[in-house]
Amino acid sequence: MVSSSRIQCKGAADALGYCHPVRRWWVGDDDDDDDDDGDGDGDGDDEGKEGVAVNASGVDKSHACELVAISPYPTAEATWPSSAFLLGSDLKLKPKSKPDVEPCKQTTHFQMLHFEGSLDWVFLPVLSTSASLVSTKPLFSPMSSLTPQVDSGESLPPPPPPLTFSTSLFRQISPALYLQRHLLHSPPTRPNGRSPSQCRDFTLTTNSLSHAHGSAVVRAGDTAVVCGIRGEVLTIAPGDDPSRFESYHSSPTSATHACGSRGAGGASWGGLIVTNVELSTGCSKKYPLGPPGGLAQTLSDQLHELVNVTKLVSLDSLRIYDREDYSDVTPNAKIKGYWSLYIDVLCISLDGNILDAAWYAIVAALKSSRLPLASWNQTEERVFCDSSLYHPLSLRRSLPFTTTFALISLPHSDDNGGGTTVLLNDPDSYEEDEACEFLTILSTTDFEIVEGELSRSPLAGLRTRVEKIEKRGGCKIGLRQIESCTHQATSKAARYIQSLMKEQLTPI
Amino acid sequence: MEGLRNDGRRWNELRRIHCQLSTSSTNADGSSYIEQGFTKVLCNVTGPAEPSSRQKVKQDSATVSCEVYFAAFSGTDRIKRGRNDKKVQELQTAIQKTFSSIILTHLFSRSEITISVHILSQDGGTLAACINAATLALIDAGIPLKDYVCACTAGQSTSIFDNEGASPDPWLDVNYLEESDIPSLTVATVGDSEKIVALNMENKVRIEKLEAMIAVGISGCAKVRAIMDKEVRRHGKQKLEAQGE
Repeated sequence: MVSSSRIQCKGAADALGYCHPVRRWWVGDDDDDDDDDGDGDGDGDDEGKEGVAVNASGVDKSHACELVAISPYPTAEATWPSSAFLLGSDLKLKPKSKPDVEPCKQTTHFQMLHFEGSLDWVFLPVLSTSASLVSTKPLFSPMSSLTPQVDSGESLPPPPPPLTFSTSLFRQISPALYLQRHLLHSPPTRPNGRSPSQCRDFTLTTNSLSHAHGSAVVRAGDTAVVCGIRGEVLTIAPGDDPSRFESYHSSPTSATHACGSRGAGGASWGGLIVTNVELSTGCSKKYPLGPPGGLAQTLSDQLHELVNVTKLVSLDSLRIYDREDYSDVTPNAKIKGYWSLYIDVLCISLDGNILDAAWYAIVAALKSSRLPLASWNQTEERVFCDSSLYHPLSLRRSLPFTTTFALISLPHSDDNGGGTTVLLNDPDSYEEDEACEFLTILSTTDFEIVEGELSRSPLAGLRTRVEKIEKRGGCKIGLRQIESCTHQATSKAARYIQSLMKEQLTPI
Repeated sequence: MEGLRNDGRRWNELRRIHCQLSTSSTNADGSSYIEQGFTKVLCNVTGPAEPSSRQKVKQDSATVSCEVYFAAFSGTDRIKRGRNDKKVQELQTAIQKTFSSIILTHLFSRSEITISVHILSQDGGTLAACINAATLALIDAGIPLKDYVCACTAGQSTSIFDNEGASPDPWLDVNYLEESDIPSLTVATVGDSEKIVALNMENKVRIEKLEAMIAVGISGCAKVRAIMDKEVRRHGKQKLEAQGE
């Protein structure tokens, strides 16, 4: 049977929602085995199999676009039956085998449609969507001039009326244009109702997992990640050189430089801290179940690099010394082992900006981690962990946080006089799909807790600085935009710090 | 304390069960979360949807497929369980077979129903929690089922006689410590009936003990069902009220 039918349409496509008729079209499906061939009509089969392209006069090729692909399976997003909209005149719409069936009631009828006459019309299924639109007011006029006409439209006047769509349909079939229209609006509002500089609210819960040494759950909008941290003791064999771990951690190089030490056990590769991101968990329909894809691997590496570059965890809290009691380290104490940290990030639900959420979860989980006190036992020649005493990991004093922006380039228009780029703070997946690139800013916040100060003016004692900016090329943005981004990044970092401290202050 | 297990329960007591429906409504058609003691499981259900591959297309019924993920931090040791891990595959098969017989698959020909289970924390009774979570998620997705499938574990202390000379009672709903110590089984029943749809035991046990263990397991399933049913009704009521406004 048909797996998906595709309606393609060429010509004047930038007028989706505006006033050009669609001039050229074909209907076809991607599937070959057509079970309904028994009706025996030759050209019907051809239409079903290959799709028929029909030329109409006045096609402007520069406006080509693909309209929509339809799945015949009733899912939450697209619900059949749909109705057809016909524009223009001279149309004969004739279902082939079942003349009295209303066209397009079911997907299978796509194959049976037969068209004759001139082609100044467009045939579109209406996708009724369950996604609600958060926009405060409709920016686009709903169906005003287009009415469903299932009968042959011979009585329609020759000049085709302007084609408009409902907002939800427009959102689905032309996301780029939909986003642009929102952003060109004054004041610019994103489809999700936020302003470009506004980020989503987030919540943080730490130490909710019992088996992990530290854990955090972060929710930002519909993105939710769980981060768990487990420490494992890595004993140094007599011949081993501990400087391998030390040198790597203290040099701000990328993970690739550490490959030389690969092979001496899992933890030694890339230092003592191993990060792993699991995305293929059914968290989003875009990432199918299966082995980790490109994004998950990139993210794992990116986060690993961030941990190492920022020197987030102080190495001293990972060292296990040769001492019997837990007194202060004497200068001649020998390092007998290390704690290696396994950081696992599990994405439960993905709606854009996974990097920020994952990084924040990692920082919060590290901050809440408690490792058992470990010491070297001389007689047994092994590292022993205390069963009841724990110590927190010591992190660097000022915690770094990432802020990601999606760059959307807007085309030339009358209002701004030329193509510009808009930066969207904390993009969701709809915006991420349309973004030409991303800008990530790593900023650090210093805070001094003064007693009672926190409640009065939480951000007063904060000092922020930018540690890293990553923009990999793609769009041009001005200096001023970067400057405003850094301001947004610092204020977001301050909010992160604030929520982290609030979480830490509450008793577990 | 006399007659109490190491976590303070009596022989026929369940651990605390907390369950939730529609936990991640954006990316799945149905979702649920269940905590049985410290065992925490999250389940997403997608479908009925177009099958991901041609092989999964059945002309007369829906295909049920299941994916199980162990979070690396879920157990007491950090074991990364890959997709081809035996334990993972065993769980997947058990869940898939169980639900293929319970879902009214003939209503959705040529489509696929995917159950993905995430084990966030394991503390005994992992399979039972997975089955319970999957039932809730399928209910949330609105997929017609014959009835609830509820699962529970039961264990049997290996000593033949207890202090008073009587044979000891089986233990209901074993935790991780008990599970690693004594033989235990997982039993899943359909609805209120005492019909067993899944039964799994991996240890040796004396044959005369088996019936008592299964009986205790079935009684646990009934208790689990009551808790799940309560939550489903509460959630449904809440949803209806929200719609009515």
